[in-house]
Amino acid sequence: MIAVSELAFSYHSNAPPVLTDLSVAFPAGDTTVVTGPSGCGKSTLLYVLGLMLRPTAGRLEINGADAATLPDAERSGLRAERIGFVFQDAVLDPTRTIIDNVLEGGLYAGINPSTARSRALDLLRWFGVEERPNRRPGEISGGQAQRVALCRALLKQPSILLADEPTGNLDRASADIVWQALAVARDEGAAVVVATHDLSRSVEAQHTVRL
Amino acid sequence: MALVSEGAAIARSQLVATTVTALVVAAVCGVIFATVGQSAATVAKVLASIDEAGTRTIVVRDASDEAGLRADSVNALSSIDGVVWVFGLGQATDVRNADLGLAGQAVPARRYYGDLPAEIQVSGRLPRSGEALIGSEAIGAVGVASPAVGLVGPGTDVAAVGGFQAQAPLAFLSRSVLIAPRISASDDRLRELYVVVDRAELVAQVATAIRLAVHAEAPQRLAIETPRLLVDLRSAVGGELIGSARQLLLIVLAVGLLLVTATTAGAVSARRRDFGRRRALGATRSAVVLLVLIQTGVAALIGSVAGTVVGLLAVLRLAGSLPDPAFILGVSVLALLMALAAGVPPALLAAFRDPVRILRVP
Ligand SMILES: Nc1ncnc2c1ncn2[C@@H]1O[C@H](COP(=O)(O)OP(=O)(O)O)[C@@H](O)[C@H]1O
Ligand SMILES: [Mg+2]
Repeated sequence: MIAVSELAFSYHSNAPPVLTDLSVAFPAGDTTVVTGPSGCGKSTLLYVLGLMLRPTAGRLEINGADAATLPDAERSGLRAERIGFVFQDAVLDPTRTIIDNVLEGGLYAGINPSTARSRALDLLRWFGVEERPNRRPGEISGGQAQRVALCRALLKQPSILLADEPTGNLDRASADIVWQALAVARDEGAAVVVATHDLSRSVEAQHTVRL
Repeated sequence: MALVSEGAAIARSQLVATTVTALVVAAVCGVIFATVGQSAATVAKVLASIDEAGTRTIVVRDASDEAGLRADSVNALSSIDGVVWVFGLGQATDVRNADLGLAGQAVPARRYYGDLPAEIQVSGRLPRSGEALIGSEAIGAVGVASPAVGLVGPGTDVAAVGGFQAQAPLAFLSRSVLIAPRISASDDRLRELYVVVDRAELVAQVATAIRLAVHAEAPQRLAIETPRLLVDLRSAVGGELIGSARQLLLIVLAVGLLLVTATTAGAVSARRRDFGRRRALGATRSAVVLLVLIQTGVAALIGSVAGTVVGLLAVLRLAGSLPDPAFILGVSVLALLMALAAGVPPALLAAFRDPVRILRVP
């Protein structure tokens, strides 16, 4: 469960606020789609929910505690252990193999390496990118890279899964796989929040937030 | 632990930065050894040669028997603080091989007083009262292959029972025969007394004590020779060489620090996206600092080992001897710490960047 109340955010103290007086709950076990025109603040909201930006005002509740005011080390700990984040472009480490990229999803939470490795291989198999896990990100397609990024986000079995236009750069078939994976995470009990300007995807969600 | 292998992997993936850092650290070690180390080795050599030349030896002389230096001075001087050993020598007389008579060559023979110091290494058994030892360079002159021979001279008739090798400050005795003292010899007159002290700094103080404690009829007539000049030279050489070496060391470390900082800053800014991704995925700021320091540390460790080996080989060729092990270890560790310190500012820079600004797609 993650919720914001009277949330406001602006990038600079003298810049106009991107988000104002926003109060939404994102229940566990549900998918919430965040929609709106380009530049309305969808990514900004996801970064705030993902503890990469601090709210300018308001509360950000994660399991009942206000994560907005926690010290940086504790916010990093929540990112490492509880929150899975999928960027619009995959943001993989180009110098490391596919399997190492997936394992990075558990690195900062200190997940047991052998448990992590077998789970990582399971995930890669589920997403159909298990062949040659020793390839580098430069040797796979954009759709495959986004699936690897999803594996990385799912490795820690996050209770909050945030995806910022995860299918924006993908063809229809790849996009379908990504949406299926988001549904699986939701069914396992995660609070799933997806930013998208593709309104046709609203049918996949239990809730829709328009910015 | 996972972070260590992660940092090592980063060091591998940024081979240029890693190599440059390793080379800078290696050069720092090498330069320190080739300059400071060489002068440290030189200082050690100069000091050792000064010490060998007898900075710790005081000689008491009564060349023409006008002071009446008595043999029991040996015991009296042995009890002065800081004295390691005292060795007395009587008047020299000529002796020859008894079998050859006057046809044989004459060698100087002297009675000695006090225990034989380690600087006189005896081969064969120790002489009893009235028996003698032949110095390594006198054996040929006596005309025998082994040092068991009768020796005669004016008022002297002794049996040699062994030989000896003499080292500084008694090396000159190698050309002589040494005769063991008679049982009660306290009234015998000495020509020379050799007093060796513990440390060169004690020389002046012990020399004063000698004049008071010595047993002689006219102590003021004794000539007491101290290696004053050598003692002064010793402290001058040590102080000056070590002083200039310290300055050089600081300059080399400062230059190395700047180079490693610049290299690490370059490596860190080339990996802005990498650190942004790590922060977004949950790496704490301290984890990012640690990763940068591990990357620098791995490179520095390689460089420090390589630079130490190469630098020491150079010193060995130039100076012919190695600086002492504590100095070697000290330099390697210092170079490593220098590199780690140089990595701190770029590491903090990486840790405090805003991941969102780095990762955002417009
Ligand atoms: N680093 C920044 N500094 C100032 N303004 C920013 C920054 N990043 C984004 N913005 C602005 O914030 C607004 C919302 O951006 P964003 O959250 O990316 O919207 P969306 O994802 O809905 O397209 C935009 O007007 C954008 O120009
Ligand atoms: Mg966006």
